[in-house]
Amino acid sequence: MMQRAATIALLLAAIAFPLAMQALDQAYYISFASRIMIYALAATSLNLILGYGGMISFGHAAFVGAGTYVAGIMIVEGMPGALIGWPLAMLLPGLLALAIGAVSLRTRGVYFIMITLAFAQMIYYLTVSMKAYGGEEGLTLPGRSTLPFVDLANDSNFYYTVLALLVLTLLLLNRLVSSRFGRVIEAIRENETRMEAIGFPTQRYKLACFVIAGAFGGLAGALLANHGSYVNPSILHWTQSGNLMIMVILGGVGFRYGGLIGALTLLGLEEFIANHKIGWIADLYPNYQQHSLLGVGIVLLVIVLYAPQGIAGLFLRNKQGGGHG
Amino acid sequence: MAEPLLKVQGLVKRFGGLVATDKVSLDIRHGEIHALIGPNGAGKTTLIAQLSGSLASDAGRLGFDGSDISTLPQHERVRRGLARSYQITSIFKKFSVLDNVALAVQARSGTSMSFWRPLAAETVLFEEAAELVRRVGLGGREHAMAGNLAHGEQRQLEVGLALATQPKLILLDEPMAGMGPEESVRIIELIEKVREEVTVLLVEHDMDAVFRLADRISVLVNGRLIATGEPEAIRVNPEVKKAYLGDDVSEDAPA
Repeated sequence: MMQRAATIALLLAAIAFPLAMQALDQAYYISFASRIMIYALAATSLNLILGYGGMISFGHAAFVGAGTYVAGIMIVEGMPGALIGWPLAMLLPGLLALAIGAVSLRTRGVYFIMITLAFAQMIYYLTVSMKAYGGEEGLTLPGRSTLPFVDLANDSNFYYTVLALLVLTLLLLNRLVSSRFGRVIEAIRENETRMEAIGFPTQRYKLACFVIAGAFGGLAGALLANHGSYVNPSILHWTQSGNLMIMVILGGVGFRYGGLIGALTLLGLEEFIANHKIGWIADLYPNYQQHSLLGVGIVLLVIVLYAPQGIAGLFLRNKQGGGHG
Repeated sequence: MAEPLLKVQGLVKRFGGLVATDKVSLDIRHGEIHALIGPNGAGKTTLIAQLSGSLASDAGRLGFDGSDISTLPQHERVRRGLARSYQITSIFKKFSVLDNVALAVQARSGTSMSFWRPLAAETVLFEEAAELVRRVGLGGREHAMAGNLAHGEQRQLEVGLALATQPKLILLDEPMAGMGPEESVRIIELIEKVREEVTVLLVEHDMDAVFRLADRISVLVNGRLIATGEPEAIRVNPEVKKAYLGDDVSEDAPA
C-alpha cells in the first residue's frame, strides 16, 4: 500500500517536473532528467540479466550502442518515423543479443564476463570502421525521430515520451519477473544444475532473458541517439558497459527499481560535482570538479562496503524495520 | 522377458587417462528397486551423471522406455521420465519448500516461456506441489525457506524434487548421505512408498538399507560392473567379498 502511494507520488512529480522547470526558467534540467531516464531504462534492462538472471554481462553497451546506430541511421537515411525506427532499434539489438548470447552463455563466471566484453569490443570497432556513418567521428543527426501528433523536437514532449516508455518498460519487466518465466530465471540464478535436473532447458531461458535485455537496451539506445541528436562509437565503449554496471550495483542488483535509482544517483552525482562548487573542498583541491569520477568512485566504495545490496536494498530494509508489509 | 525400462550397453567415460566408467552394461527392470553399490571412488556418481545426461559418455548406448536416449540432453530425459537426486543436497535454498516443489511441477506442466500471467495465479500448480510436499513427509513445512530446513528435511526435499518430476525411473544418489539412523528410516519408508509407481536405481552405502530395499544389486568396482544379482547371491559372491574386504579375507559377507 505504502509502496503504491510512493510510486504514484513519484510519477506525479515526474509529470509535473517539466512544468516546474519551465516556470523556474531551468529548461536544461528537463533535458538532463530525460538523460537520467534513458540511462535508467538501459540500466534496468541490464539489471534483468545481471540481477535477476545472475549473468554478469560486461557488454551491455553493445546493445545500447546498436540501438543508437539503428535509430540514428534511420534518421540520416530519411526514415525518421519512430514507429518503425524504434521497434527496429529493439529488434536488431535483440538479434545481436541472440547471436552473442548463443555463444557467450556456454561459458560461466569470469569467462562469461570476458566473452561479453570481447563481443562488445568487436561491435565497438565495427562502428569505428563504418566510414559511411562517420567512423570514429560518428554522426550528427539532422533532427529527432518523428511521432504522429507529438513533436519530439520539443524537449518537454521528448521528456514525456521517454517517461512513458520508461514506465511502460518497468511495468512490463515487473510483470515478467512475477511470471513463470521470471521464476525460471530467478531459479536458474539460484541453482542452474538443479533446474536442468528437474527438466528445464536452462540455456534456452537464459538466452531468451539475454535477448529481452538486449532489446530494451536497444530502445534506450534509440532514445539516447534522439536525446543528443548525435551518434558515435563512444556510446559502445567498454567504459559505458562499466557505467551501466555501476548504476545497477549502486541502485540495487536484482531490485525492481535498482536501475532507476542507480542512474539517478550516478548521473545526479556527476552533475552535482561538476556544476556545484563546494568551497572547502575547492580550497583543499582546486581542480576537484574536473575529477568528478573520483567522487563517484568514493561513493561507490562506500555503497559496496556498507550497503552491498545497493541503495534499493537499504531502503527496503528500513521499510521492513519500520513495520512495512 | 519383457524389455527392461533402462538398458545400458557398453557405457564408457574417461577423464584423461582414468577410465571412470569401463564398458558398463546393465538392465533396470520395470518396477524393481535396483541398488548400485561399490567402494568409494568406484564411479557410482559418474555413472549416475551419465545416465541422467549431465555428463556426456565417450561410448555406449542408453535405451529408456523403448527409445534410444543416448544423445538426449538432461532436460529431455527428465521429460521422458528419468530423474535423479543428488548426493550433495542441491535444492533452491532461498525458495520456500512449496516453491521448490512447484518449480518441478512447473517444469512438466506446459511452457514456461510465459511472460505476462503471474505465476501466483496458478493455483492448480501450487495445489499439486502442496500434495507432493505432504507425500515426502514435509507437510506443515511448506512455507519454510529450504535453506533453513534441518539436514534430514533437506534430504527429503532433495528426493521430493526428483519425485515431483513424475519419473518412471528415479536415480537416487545416496539419499541417506549424512543422515542419522532415525532420519534414514524416513527415507527408507519414502522409497518403499514410491516403489509402487516408480522404478528405483539406488546408490547407497548403508548396507542395511540396500539389503532391506533392493530386489537386485549391482556392484561397481573401479568403473567396472563385477556382479549383478539378487541380494543373497551378491552377499556370497566371492568377487564382491574381495572387492570390499581385500584379497586375504575369504569369510564374512560385505553386509
